Amino acid sequence: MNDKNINDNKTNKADFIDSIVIIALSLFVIYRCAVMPRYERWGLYATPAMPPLLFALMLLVLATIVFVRSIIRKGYKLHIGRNELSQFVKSGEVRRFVLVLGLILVYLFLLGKIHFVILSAAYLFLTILLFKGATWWVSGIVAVATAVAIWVVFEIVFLVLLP
Amino acid sequence: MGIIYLFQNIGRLFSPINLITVLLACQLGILFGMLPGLTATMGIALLTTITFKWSTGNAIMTLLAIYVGAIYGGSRSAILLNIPGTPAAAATCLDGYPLAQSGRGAEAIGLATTSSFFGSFIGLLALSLFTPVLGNLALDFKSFEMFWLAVFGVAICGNLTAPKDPIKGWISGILGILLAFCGMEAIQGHPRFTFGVLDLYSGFSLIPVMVGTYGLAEILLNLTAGQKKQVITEIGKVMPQLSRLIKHWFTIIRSGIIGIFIGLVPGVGESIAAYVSYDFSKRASKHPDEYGKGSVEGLIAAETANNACTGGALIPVLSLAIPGSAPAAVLLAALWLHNVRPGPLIMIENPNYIYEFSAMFFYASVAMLILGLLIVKPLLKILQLKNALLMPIIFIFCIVGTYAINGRLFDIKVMIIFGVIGFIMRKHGYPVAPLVLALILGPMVDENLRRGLILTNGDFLPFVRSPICIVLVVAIFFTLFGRTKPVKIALRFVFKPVTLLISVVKRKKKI
Repeated sequence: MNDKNINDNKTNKADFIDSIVIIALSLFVIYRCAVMPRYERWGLYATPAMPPLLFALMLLVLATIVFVRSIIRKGYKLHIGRNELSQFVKSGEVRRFVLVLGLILVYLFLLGKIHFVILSAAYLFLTILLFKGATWWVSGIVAVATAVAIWVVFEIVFLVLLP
Repeated sequence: MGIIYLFQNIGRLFSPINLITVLLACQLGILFGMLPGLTATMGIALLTTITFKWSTGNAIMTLLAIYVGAIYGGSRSAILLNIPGTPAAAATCLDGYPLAQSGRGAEAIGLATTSSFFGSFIGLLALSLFTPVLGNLALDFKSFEMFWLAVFGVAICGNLTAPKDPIKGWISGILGILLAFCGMEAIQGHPRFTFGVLDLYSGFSLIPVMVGTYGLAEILLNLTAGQKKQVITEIGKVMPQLSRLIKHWFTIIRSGIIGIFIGLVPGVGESIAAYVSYDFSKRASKHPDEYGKGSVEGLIAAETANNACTGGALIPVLSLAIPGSAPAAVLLAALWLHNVRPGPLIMIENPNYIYEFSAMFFYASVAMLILGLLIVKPLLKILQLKNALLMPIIFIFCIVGTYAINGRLFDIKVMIIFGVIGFIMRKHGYPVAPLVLALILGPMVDENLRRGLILTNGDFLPFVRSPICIVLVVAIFFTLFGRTKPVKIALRFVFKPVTLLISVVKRKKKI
């Protein structure tokens, strides 16, 4: 029961934040629709702004429902203090997320600048090793074999250009 | 007579070379379908170039085998990894992955394979016997009907994938529709929501968004969760029991018919067929609570429909030269390249071709069944690999698959952005399936709504006039509001005389 209450609390808080973001997004879309050219000779019903405006209004209504619901369920009590922020940043899950995303972003940055096989092998080796997927030599073999195999199959056999 | 011609062509095409070709092509298709980002469309497109100089019969047989194999192959990664290899397998994740997690992966793959075969077989019967008749039905879908069908697809997907909180499913769907509006729109050519980014003029491609929200999000979820890998201690029987399949015979036939009719409608595709069939199956089921938690019935419904849809999608290809899905579009191009002229005159110019084509489809379906049941146990070993070893490899395949579509680094950036968005959505209880499905259906919604209104000079009445439109509007209404109290009370009141009559008849029978 306690776990369920904690999960419900987290959901309500998430709903509160998400609904604000979605409301802001729908208002932005509505604004962009309002300033879009109308092409009136086609008729107002054919204006390119009409469908996005319609769906942005629907989104606004739904997001408002979620917002009101989260307030009723006290999701606005976010308790964002120094201790909570510190615990959040230090948690294992957040650290792993930052690590995995960091590796992906470095890979993306170097893609096209370094040969695909070398870059992919390096990425695979580092990720498998840092996340303790295998020993260093197994990681190395898997990384090189996978990168080379993918390159051969796609670029040589299927003539699909790789980045 | 049609059945006789079909069997004659099956016999005529029976040769060792054809069998080997079909088996190899089908296996390649399964691999394409399994790997995230490598879709049936890409497989057919790649092999079209390789088979260009082959004889027409061999080439088309190869391409059909890839099509059938790839649509089925998506279910494997959906079941084993919760990452659908193709959009068609998105509904398979709902029950296939929970089955695999509970140690019933072999059973799930066996059921998916046999259901896919039955679906293909039902599609084959429709293709060979009813092509001219069903082809005309596709013509009844005009702008008004297409608009409502697209809205229905999004609404139903939102409901199914967020049963406890459908509002989140609908929010996800509408976000997908808004994403689909990015880029140069089709009627006035005005660029919407591009913010000066040239790459956005063509809008968001489906594959980077799908690979990101499903593939990369799953990778992020698994790697951030740490080494929590469920080890399957027992690999069970792959071949499903006949009694189990017979028990669900009605689900198979209903899903097959749904798949065929949705495949008939141009541009709709296998993913919607799977979701609609899943929804019908859930509503009719005696155990709807099991859906989403490893329901065998749900898995059978989704897989039968998406493979029946391949047959259905080929009906307008042959009879009208209009593709019923994206892979069918590439297949149509391949037919033209090989001097086959599909269209309304095919029954006059080349009437035997429909049966020859159906015979090829038959061989492709049988190859899918054999290969699908054979190589299962080694695949299940994938589930026993550590996340830290498996997920980075899948990431590289995601990169390759995403880049291969358009050759743009922009697509990879989109994939990564949507990977993070998908990760956050799943953490916060928002399903990603409606977002991806709405990205497919968004252009249908936009173009058909505005085209319909242009044709009627702004009059909305034709949108609710035709029988197909009325059925779809009613279906949307019940999908969105069917579970609310006022609607339930109203339905009970309307159907009270009928339920009273049924209870009286039952009492009389007991007496």
